[in-house]
Amino acid sequence: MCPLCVANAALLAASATSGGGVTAVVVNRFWKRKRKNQTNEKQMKRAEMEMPKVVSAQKWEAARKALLVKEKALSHARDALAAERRRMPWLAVEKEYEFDGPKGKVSLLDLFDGRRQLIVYRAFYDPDVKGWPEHACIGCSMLADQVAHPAHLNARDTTLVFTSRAPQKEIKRLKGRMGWELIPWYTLTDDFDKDFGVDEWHGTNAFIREGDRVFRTYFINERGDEQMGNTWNYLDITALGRQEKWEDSPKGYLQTPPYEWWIWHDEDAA
Amino acid sequence: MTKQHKTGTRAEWLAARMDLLKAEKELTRRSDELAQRRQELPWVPIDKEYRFETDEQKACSA
Repeated sequence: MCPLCVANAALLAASATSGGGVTAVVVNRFWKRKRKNQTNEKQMKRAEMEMPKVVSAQKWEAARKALLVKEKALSHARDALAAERRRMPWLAVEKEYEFDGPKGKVSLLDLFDGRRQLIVYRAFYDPDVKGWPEHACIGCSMLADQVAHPAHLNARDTTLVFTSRAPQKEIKRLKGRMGWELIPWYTLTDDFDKDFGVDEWHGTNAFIREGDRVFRTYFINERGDEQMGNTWNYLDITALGRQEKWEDSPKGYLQTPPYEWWIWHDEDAA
Repeated sequence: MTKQHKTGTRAEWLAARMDLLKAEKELTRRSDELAQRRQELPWVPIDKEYRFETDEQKACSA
């Protein structure tokens, strides 16, 4: 859930209980920040924007090359962090979970759709969230808009799904209206959200399976979720990574040369 | 292929994730800092005219 949606849910809760307490604090903090932002916008309009220097193409190229060193260092730091994620211990999932899907009840194992890895994003779409039933939480909707064609994750034996509390009937309508038909989207029915740290806030959990045994391998939320949506960053939070030869992965991991697993999304990947 | 991967208890898993969370936040901040540097790059005026075609009519770069 994003700050906007939290404020709305808190308002609903506050009006229902008339108490306030923690929820009121959240609302106040949110509105203070919003007012501050509005003031900043006004100030920016009044003051002239401070312009960077205007230079020749050669000078610009030199400045860009200097920054390129930092760009590469950041890419390498990102790769190194992904390598550490791959060395996380795996946590066995011992409980059974049930989801509602377009074809009825399914288990966590079913969400893998036969693939080796599963990524589960928790979106907020239910009657307590601002925009219901026309819209899901605005931040979750923004993220759904980033999601790449699933064929590419599928080509690395990985399935991405969204989950929320809304019934399938509403989810189907939402997906159609927003153009999210390609995102498999399931309804939470039990403690899955609580058990995986996504009962109050959005987050992305990564799982792997060994046969029928499911393991939780990683979890990303808050600003980590900003990077989600593209195939590379999704693979970088999984236990197996991009599964490419150059990667620093634990010994024995299946790796193929980069580029060679790429497909056109209208090819039959299976 | 990954059968020997180590598994952990809930507490061990959480401890490992909290350790990594520090590195995650550091990377986010580093990425923000680089974005700031990009904003501070000088600008180059574009003095040449470029033309692009759309399916309806010719469009120019500005």
